[in-house]
Amino acid sequence: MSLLSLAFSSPWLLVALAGLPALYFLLRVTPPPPRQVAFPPLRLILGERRDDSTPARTPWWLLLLRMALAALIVLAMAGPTLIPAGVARAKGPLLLLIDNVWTAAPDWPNRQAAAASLLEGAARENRPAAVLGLAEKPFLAMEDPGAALARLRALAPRPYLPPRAPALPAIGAFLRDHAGAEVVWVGDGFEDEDGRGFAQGLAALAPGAALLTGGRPPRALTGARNASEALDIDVVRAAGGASEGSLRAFDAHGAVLGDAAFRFDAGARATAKLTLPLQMRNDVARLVLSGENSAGGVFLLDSGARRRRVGLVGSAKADQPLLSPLYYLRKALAPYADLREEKPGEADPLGRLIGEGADVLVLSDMALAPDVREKLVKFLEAGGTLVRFAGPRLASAPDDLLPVTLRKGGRTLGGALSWERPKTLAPFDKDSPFSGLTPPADASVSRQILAEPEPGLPQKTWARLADGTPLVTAQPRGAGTLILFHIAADASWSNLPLSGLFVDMLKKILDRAGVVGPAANAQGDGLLPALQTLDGFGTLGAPAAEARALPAKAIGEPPDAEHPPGYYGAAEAPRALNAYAGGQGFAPLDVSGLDFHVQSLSAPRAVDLRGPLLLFAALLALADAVAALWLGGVWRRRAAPIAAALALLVVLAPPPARAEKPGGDEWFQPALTTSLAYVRTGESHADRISAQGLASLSQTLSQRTSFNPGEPRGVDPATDELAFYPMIYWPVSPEASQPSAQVAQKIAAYMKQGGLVLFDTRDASEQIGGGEATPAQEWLNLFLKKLDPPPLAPAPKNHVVFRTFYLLDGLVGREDSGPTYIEALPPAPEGEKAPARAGDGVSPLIIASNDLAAGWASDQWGEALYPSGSDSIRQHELALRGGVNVVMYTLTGNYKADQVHVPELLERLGQ
Amino acid sequence: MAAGFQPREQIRPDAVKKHAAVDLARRLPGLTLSARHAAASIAAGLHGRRRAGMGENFWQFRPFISGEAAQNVDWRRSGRDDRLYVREREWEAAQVLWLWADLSPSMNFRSQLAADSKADRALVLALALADACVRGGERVGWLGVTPLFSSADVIERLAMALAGEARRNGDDFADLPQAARVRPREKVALIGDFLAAPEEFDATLARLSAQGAQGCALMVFDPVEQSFPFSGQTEFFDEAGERLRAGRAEDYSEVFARKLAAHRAALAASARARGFTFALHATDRPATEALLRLRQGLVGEGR
Repeated sequence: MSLLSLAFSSPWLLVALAGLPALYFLLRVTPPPPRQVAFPPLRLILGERRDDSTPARTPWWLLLLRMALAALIVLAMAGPTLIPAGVARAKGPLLLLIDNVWTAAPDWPNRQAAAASLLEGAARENRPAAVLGLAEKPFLAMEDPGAALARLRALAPRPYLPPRAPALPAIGAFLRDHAGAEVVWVGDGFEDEDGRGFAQGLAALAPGAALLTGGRPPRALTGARNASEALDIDVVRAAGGASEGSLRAFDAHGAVLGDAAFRFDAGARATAKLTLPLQMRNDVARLVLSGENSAGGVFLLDSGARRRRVGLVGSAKADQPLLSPLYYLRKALAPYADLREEKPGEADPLGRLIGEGADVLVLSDMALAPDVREKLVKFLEAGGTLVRFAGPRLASAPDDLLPVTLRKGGRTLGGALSWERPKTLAPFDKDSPFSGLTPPADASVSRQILAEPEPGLPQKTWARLADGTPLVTAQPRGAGTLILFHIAADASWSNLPLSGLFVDMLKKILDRAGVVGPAANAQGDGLLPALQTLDGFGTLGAPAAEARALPAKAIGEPPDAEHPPGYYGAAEAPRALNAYAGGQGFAPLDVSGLDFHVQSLSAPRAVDLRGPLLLFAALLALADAVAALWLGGVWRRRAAPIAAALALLVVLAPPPARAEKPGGDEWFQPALTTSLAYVRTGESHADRISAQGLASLSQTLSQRTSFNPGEPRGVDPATDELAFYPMIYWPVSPEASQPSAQVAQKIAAYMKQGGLVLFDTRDASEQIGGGEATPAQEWLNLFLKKLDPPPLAPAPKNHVVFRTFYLLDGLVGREDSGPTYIEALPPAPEGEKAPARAGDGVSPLIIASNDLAAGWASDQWGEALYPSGSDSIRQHELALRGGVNVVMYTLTGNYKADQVHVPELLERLGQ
Repeated sequence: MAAGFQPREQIRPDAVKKHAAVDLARRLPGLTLSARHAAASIAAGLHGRRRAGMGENFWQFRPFISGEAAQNVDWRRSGRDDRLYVREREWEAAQVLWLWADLSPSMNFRSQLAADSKADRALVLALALADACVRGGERVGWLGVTPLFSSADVIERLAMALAGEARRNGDDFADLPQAARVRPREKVALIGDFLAAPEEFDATLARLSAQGAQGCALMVFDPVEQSFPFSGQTEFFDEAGERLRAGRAEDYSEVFARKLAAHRAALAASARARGFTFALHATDRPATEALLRLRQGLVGEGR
């Protein structure tokens, strides 16, 4: 067997190679294109045409290039595939079994590619195929390889490890129907649920089946414990996996909280320590193994690992806070717990706090009613932690919800009538939860209640005084713990509540405290609906379609198809179901003694040569184009090298990055250059005149003034942003429909913000002084009513708008008789004869009637496009001057009116 | 500017060409055309007619004829004796020059050897000639397009008229002057590449000469239109859309030279026969040269 062999999917196409010699002759007679020369006296020699068009010979190398190009295309079309040695060539249908579970997820693309390569091989040989994911429902049907390939691409790893055996009957049935089928099992290589059993069954059904295993050994997170200093996380790896790695902690919103590294020492297990402040540790919602990409590499944390909810209840209602025991408790607990307190005058605070899901209840000195006691017992049974503090009431009337039996009264140390000194604390025992803390020397106890000496008291004692009397005693009750401080929580009995030790002791108790199970909350029927589930790659998302509600008891069991790993329960207190919680590690699949043809996933695969061949052919085609240009003499012209370089760039350049908002960068263009605008009326004639007129005006402005406006723009006030334009020309068309109220509002806002709208009724010839309003005027009147316009008046001859750039008498357009209306000026002072008058600021609107745009419009030689009355040239010039003045008025306001006063101001300064 | 045919709009007289024309014209003294054949027009000009008439210079005093307007009396002379005299001035007439430059598409060609296209050169020459004549006191018009001008801004006026003409006919100019009214003894200057058939050229000159006009024809050509520097496989095309594919362009060199010489000889003969002078001008030569030649052709009365 040769090392490499070449197979063709359509070998008959190779016959086309025989046509290459014909191509040889064809190419020889195609000359390069002649040079094109412009030659006016051609007429003189036209009659001398002679038959001399024998082409120059195509150069041999160009011939070779083109023949190679053709041969490459023929070869590529024939579908060549390079098949390395060792790739089996079987006959009959192909049955592909794939372990699509999360252990296969880290190198899933590799597995999929291996399977796809097998299917493509089958497609080349026209063998039907069937694909079955072993984590799917066992359904097998013979398909053509293309459909099987699509089915393969649709497979994704599942986030649980189901048994494989249910697939065996379907495989058996399939193999009975299609004898001689080639069976390939792309396995994850682990025992999982029933690997050996399935392998035995498969080997019996299909002796000699191929087993593709190997690939990257997976790792998984099996548990996380919130220890006192750090979050301890258990990591497990398959044999041969990487010896070190890191994981990352995220909070519920996906923000990164921290990283932790771990290292496997020879074994398969390791522990990562995530060192974070307690508050942040409480926020950790998700741990993810870096670079793992599988459901097993993700560990979800629920309230079991969270901050505890503490209920605070006390009967003392001192007006002075420093005398209240609750004050000290609140100060000590607030940084570490979610505090809930009794409300003043509340009837049943304990019942409410338990109902709110408190994990720890702290009771300062208080007597317990029987029904309250009932609730507390239930709370303890469900796993709650009850911390009680002594006080005068407990000393006088001890009840029985205590870890120890109390003596009546208690004792006082170091009082005025006592010889004894206040006692200090003894060092904590090793097995006490407080071990590790050091009692300060100045913390002392002057009064306490005493426990009745009884058997087992030392075991119940967590802290004692220097003389050995218990200070803190505790006793497990049901799933919970009952803790008693033999002192009061305020500073009256002891200065311990003032010390840092008090805070540390309470913190230790919080760390120990468990979570109260749902039974204590007595809500729901124990079924937790799916909130979010993981997919096989470890991505948290909306619940999978097949996810069912999870019985509360099943938390901690391995997930299955109906209960994929994820969050279950109520959104405010979700419970986590993890893919590999408490997993025992990966046991390799044992196929020894079974008839399997075991292969590695990374074995060489068949390579499809079509793509590389076509790419090479494309490069040759490019070279041919360049050669043709060069031979044709076009090369000598300047454009050719640039064109060739561009062609190369087009071939080599990466695809252009796409803007996020397709075509969306138009809207801010008007903001980049100041330009004039006109309102599109919808009548093409009027709009064209407006565009021409404003274009001429813009050109005039940039020639004569320092204002260089951009291209004028047609705007639709309903949709376009108007704020970019200093002035908007609005040709009034009586046939147009009235703009909507929104448009009117927008225009009114535009005018208030300093814009100027130049209405043009274009009907100067129809107006009769004192006569009826023309249709355009009526239209405008109707519209202006919605705009709240300022009072208008005919513009006086000395209005500043006629003085801003040129000294004019009025606004002239194609007509010159119509009046111009502008915001009314304040009455002129008596006797003053001002050369220019202006109001405050710029008039927000000007109403003209002389068809200004048609007056402005000029052709490219500066002559009027639309003839006007008498002296066309002069009127066109006057119209443009008027336009310049209006624009200058818009841009500079009443600056010119102020300029008029300069001599007078200077004179005053002189005095 | 690339070699080959230029866009048609480029043949319009613009500010650049106007400056070139003024620059060129001011290098020469004002052009005064030959007085001998000054047209018998009533327009005032520099050429004294040795007769009493409209003019600047004194001609004679003659006795006042009763019934004449009293304002004609020259009181200074009449004060010397008892009779009334009238001062008569010499009748001074102006010569007329009709200009015409070929602005057809074939003129709008420039090779890499030349600085200007033929049309540019022809326009500049025509406008310069107009300016020179007007400064010399003559009257100038564009044949078939404008009336006669004698004002100093003749270049602007001609340019505006041509621009208007271009707008009217869509930049489509004929390659020979159209029929136009010309008076006897008026001068005509034709500038163009005259690639049309010699018979048409002859017909045009015949028409002008039949009206009594004389003048000068200047043939403007691009250097490549004479040297034919082409070789190899070449496809020639002209503005009329004709194409000629030459396998070896150098084979056509000789026949082109022969044809061109024959064409020019035919044109020159025709011009001589119709009382015109004929001159050649290549666009790679300075424009002054051509203007001098035109001047000689117009002043020298067909020598």
